[in-house]
Amino acid sequence: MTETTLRDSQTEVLRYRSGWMGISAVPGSGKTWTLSHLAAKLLLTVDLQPDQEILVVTFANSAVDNFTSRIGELVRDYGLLEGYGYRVRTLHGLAGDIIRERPELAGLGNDFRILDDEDAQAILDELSFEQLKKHEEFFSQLLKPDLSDKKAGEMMRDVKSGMPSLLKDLAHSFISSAKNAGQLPTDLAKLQKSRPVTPLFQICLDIYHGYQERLKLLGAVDFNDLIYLAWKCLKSDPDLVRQLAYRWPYILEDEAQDSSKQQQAILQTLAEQTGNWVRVGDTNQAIYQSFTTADPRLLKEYLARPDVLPLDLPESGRSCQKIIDLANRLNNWVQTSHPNEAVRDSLTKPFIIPTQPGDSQQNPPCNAHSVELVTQPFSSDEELNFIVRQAKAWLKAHPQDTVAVLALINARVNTIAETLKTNKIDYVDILMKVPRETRETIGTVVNLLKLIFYPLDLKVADKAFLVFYRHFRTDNARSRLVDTARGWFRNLAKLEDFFYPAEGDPLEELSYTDPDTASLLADFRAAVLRWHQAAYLPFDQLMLVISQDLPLQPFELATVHKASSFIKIQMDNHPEWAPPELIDALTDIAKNERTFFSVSETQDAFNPDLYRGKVVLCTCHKAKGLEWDKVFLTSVNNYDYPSGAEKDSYISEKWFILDRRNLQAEILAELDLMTSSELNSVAHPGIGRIDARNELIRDRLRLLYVGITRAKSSLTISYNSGPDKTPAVAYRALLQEENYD
Amino acid sequence: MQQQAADITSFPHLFLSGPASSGKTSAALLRLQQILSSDARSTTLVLVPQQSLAKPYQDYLRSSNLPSSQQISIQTMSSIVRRMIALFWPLIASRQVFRHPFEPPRFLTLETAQYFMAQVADPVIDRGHFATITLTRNRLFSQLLDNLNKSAIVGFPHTELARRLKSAWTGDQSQLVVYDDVQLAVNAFREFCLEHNLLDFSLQVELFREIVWPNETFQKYFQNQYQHLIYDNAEEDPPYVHDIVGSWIKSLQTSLIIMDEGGGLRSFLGADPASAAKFALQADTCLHFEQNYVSSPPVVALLGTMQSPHAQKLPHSTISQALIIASKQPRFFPELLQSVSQEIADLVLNGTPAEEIAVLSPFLSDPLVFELSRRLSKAGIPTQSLRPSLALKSNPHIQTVLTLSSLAHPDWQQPPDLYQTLSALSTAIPRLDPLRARLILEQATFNQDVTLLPSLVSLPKELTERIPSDILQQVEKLRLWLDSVDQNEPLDYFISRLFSELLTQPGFGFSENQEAGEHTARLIQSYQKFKRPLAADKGADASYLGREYYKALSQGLLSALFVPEEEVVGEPGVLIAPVMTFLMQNRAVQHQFWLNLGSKGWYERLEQPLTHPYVLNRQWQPGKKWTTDDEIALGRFNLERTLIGLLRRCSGQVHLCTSDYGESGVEEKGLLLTWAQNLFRSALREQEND
Repeated sequence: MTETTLRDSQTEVLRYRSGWMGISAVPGSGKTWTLSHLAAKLLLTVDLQPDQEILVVTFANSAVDNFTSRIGELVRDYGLLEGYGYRVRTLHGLAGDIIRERPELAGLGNDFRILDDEDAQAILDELSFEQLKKHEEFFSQLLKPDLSDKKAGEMMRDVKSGMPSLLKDLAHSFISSAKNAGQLPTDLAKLQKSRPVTPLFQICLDIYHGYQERLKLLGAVDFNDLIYLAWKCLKSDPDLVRQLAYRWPYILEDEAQDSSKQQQAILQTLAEQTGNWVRVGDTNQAIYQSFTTADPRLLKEYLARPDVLPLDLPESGRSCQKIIDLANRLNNWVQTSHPNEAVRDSLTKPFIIPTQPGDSQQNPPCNAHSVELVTQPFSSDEELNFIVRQAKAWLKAHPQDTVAVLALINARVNTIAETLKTNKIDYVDILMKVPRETRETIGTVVNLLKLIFYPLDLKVADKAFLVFYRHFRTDNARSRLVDTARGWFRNLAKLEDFFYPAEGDPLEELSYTDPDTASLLADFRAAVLRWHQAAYLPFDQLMLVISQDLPLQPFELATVHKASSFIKIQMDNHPEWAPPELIDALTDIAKNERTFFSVSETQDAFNPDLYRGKVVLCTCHKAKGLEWDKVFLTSVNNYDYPSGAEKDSYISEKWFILDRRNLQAEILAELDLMTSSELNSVAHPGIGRIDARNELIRDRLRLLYVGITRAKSSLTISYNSGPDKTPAVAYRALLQEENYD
Repeated sequence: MQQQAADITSFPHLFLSGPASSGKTSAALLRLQQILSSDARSTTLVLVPQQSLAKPYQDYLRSSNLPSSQQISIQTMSSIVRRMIALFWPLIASRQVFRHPFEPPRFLTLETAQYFMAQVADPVIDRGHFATITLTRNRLFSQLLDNLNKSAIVGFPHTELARRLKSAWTGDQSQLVVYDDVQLAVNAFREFCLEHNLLDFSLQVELFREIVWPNETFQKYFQNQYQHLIYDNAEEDPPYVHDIVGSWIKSLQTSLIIMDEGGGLRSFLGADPASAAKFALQADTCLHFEQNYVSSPPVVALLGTMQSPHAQKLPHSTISQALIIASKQPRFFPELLQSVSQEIADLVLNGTPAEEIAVLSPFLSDPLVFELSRRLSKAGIPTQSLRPSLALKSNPHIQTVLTLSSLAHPDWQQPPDLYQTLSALSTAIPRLDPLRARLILEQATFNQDVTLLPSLVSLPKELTERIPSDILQQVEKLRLWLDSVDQNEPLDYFISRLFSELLTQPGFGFSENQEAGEHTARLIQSYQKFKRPLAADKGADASYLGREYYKALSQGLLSALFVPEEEVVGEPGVLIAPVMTFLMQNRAVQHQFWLNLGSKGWYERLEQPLTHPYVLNRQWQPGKKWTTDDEIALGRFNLERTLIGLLRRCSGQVHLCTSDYGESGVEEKGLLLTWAQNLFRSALREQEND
């Protein structure tokens, strides 16, 4: 979109020069585009001092790259210096920047470390296990009484879906919420003196206490601490607020619906000084509420303030009219007719309107199949077969299109993946924590490290040889040479006779008969011997030595550097780890089992256009921000999308717990009570249950909306049913409104 | 001017100030020459704040054919303090400060003080103190010691620490309790020292200042020792040194106090330029050197604009002659290292001596040094890195000795793991390759730990067939030697025997390896320093001391200090150094490459939540708050001082090296980057307006 073709709503936004402004944007309305232009426009027109910056805050790491490069391009076009006068940060990144201004205010030195989620989870695993063991009887009493002894025993031990994982999740929510409320274990312990607490609260508090102790031993903070401590620094030091407000006279915030109370407070504190704050968001896409402390009501309240200029970005050129109508119908039905009145605020205006003729982003045309709402009650397997048939047919007819199959929960996505695999349909699973290129680069280094630390294993050596020459794969002749060499290599009886021949070098003979193969093997051997000599180096540096012997692209080399820093942190956090454990940590990244903030030649963000002709599989959560020509939205039943009806089930109300109590809701409600001034209220079983149910219902309605608005040209919605499953109430309403039988 | 400064007859007590590279130390050397030629029997004390600053004087001594080098003594004040306390211990004992005054003093190094602080502070932390602080214990211990040291070098009672720190605090009031915890721990540590005759640095300074220095006998003794004083870089010393020198100066025949304007780089260690400046009041004459003998004309022009805010703006052409920026900024840090290496290689190819190039960064990470050295050495360019010394246990020779020590001492119950043992075996027996070493060790590994080496007879035949017999014999020889070790043999004797009886024998890894010898000697020395204060304790037998030392090394307790010694690695060549270390070297080069431009390390102070170098400074007004404005003003002051210091040491050009993503992998936007971008941007704007 060029500036000459700006929509009226965008022109209105770009007129902004000062004050507080709130923008409600619909899916596909070009939020990032508009905000990037606004940042560039302000850089051009506002008189900033050399030490002042426009601060752009967003939610995800991938969006940071996206904003940075877009603003960079725009300022370059304006003839300004790229990278100068603006700063793009995630909220956590910004919190880190604030703390680093004066770490001592937060009780930290400047070398504090940030614990990643996996390490935090590992600590919680350990502490929860200890508590479970210590209070075994108490937890046994929480189990449903009609469970057999065998089943009860299983649930007490099942680390994936039984009591251990439930307690860990409870502790995790408890700690996040406590930190979001600014309550440390010592604060809660003080409050506890004036009011009794439930045993479960006490157990969570003990875990919290142990968890903070561990962090201290590591000299580390977690992601929740970052926000809490940044807020603490600002709250306790008006000078710091003034200095930072001077430095960032404009704050532009994207995805504002995903901010928590404390995150909003940080920005608000700064913006109250500068008076310039632009928040862009879509409360209809607030989908992180059920597992983070995000609260979309905060953005709604902001938009309603008298000192805020509210604007809408209602036009979207993403979807065809029929899909837009369906999304708007859902929005309207929720607001006016949802049987559970408490959740009618889940979705709000603005409704999506298509772009005007002449707009550079025209909505795709509609056809007879633009919206297909499946009425047939499928079993779970039948729905899978339906998806396979439909996806196959679609790909055949539209080989250049982008296609996605969306489901709500990971387990269902995995099942769909298995089914597509069995049916030989090419698919991409974007539940990936780490992009493919990053995983491949790290995988290469892992295979070579294994050769150093498992030097007698022929299979390891064979794999190492293969990855050492992976750049030969693109060339047929060289690829054949590698195969020949591998054949020779695999026939070795003892690896030491190849790497360190005691009597006669086997390569010498080969060099007469097949000099090319011999030379390939000799180069490999020489590299391995160099690495053996460097094996005394710390593991992180050994990785760098290896990378120097590989023909890596700049971003691959940067990936190895980053992985080496990651390993250094692991070595500091786990001084007892030997090389096999460090190799395992890297393997987890290569296998996509561990998060790793990667560097990539493109961006971290997933680009659907790269996967034309393949089925992309993902959850509705992961799909946010993405779009496909064709979308299959699956499993839209009352199990995944409850409404508050009698037979609905809720993920936090575990089947194996007595009376299906929602322990998470109870513990968080008790925490709320504890920190509130209502001294007379006491916690009891069932407390918080209704509120928690309604939160989940709201979350799921918004996820349904997100799922629908991912489709550009065609959308198919299906559901599976069973004894306890029926189509979701919202889906039934859509069927009725669309006049389906 | 330099001749004037050297004239001891006309200017017996001289105060000489001036910026870096203005010829102050050269003048001091001329003066030294004159002292030596005019008064052959007198003794001169050359006082420097740290050993590295003594280099010009040591070089002078080496190059001059002096009849006797005894006439010149080059010292730091802390070495004088320690020697004098040992010498005058009976005087201290008579004051009954210590519980057992007639037992000998036990001097602590920074490392052993940390070891004892752990003994005292661990239980305090375990009782729930320091609850709102997130620090590793080693860092916490070192900050507690730092507090004690600050009270001693500034000259206030250590019992006032909490009060001073609290009075300057502006943050959350609930945090104040931490300073009470600090006070509790340092009081307990001091009591512990007095109980056990332990003298950490703070106690050494206090005892010297309060008991030894005022004593008449001592004064007579000390005044007879020296007649002349040259005190260089006085601004890098803390006030207690200035107090002592100040009260001594008039009894000397001559004195020269040199102060570097723009110095005080070690302020986080208590350096106090304002206190040093007061020497001017005591001097007969004050001289000020202005001339910059080093910097290239464009750099001088740049310095001019920086030091005078009203100076005319520099044209873009002058700035770009002083500061070089790459035409295209790389995205990632490894690419940046690649382009830096290439630029250096081009400079060397075009005739710049490698020693005239320095690569500088606020921090020097291992990967940075490693990558850069490797790339440059591939291009045949030597490098020398100057950096905090690595932990003892990271050195491969020391690793080998330590691993063999733990194998020889099963009663320590700290068996090495398979990988440590593999590495030790391959280093000890170079002909044993890692694959065959693994074959042997797999026979002796349990849960990844190796407790004993397997005996030759216990190895299966199919395995011994895969290893040449002479190598097997060597492994057996090593095993037998380790098995024969007396568990009660002191560790330093053991290491010394291991070195001479085994590792330096033909076929073993340390034979004809001078470096290995030096490293082993360092380990022995480290152990001896460690055991000295512990040895008098009951039950501290050889086995206990060995185990404690091994444990302290493994836990990083002996290498977790903020101010480790600096280590020079490599031959003279391209210098790779942290900025501060380079500045403290007082050396100039033609080309400086500045890395990590976006880092805050260029100007931010070391943040220590349990102490505060500025609040615990003599210049700090009691009761004044340390605010964010102070912090930011300090950052700007530090950056300016660093930039001026570097530019004054640059005889050619500065190369500004930056990538989109910094070394840490994230976009960094520190003040230096902003300064550089703004400098170029304004110059470009001016150019366009013209």
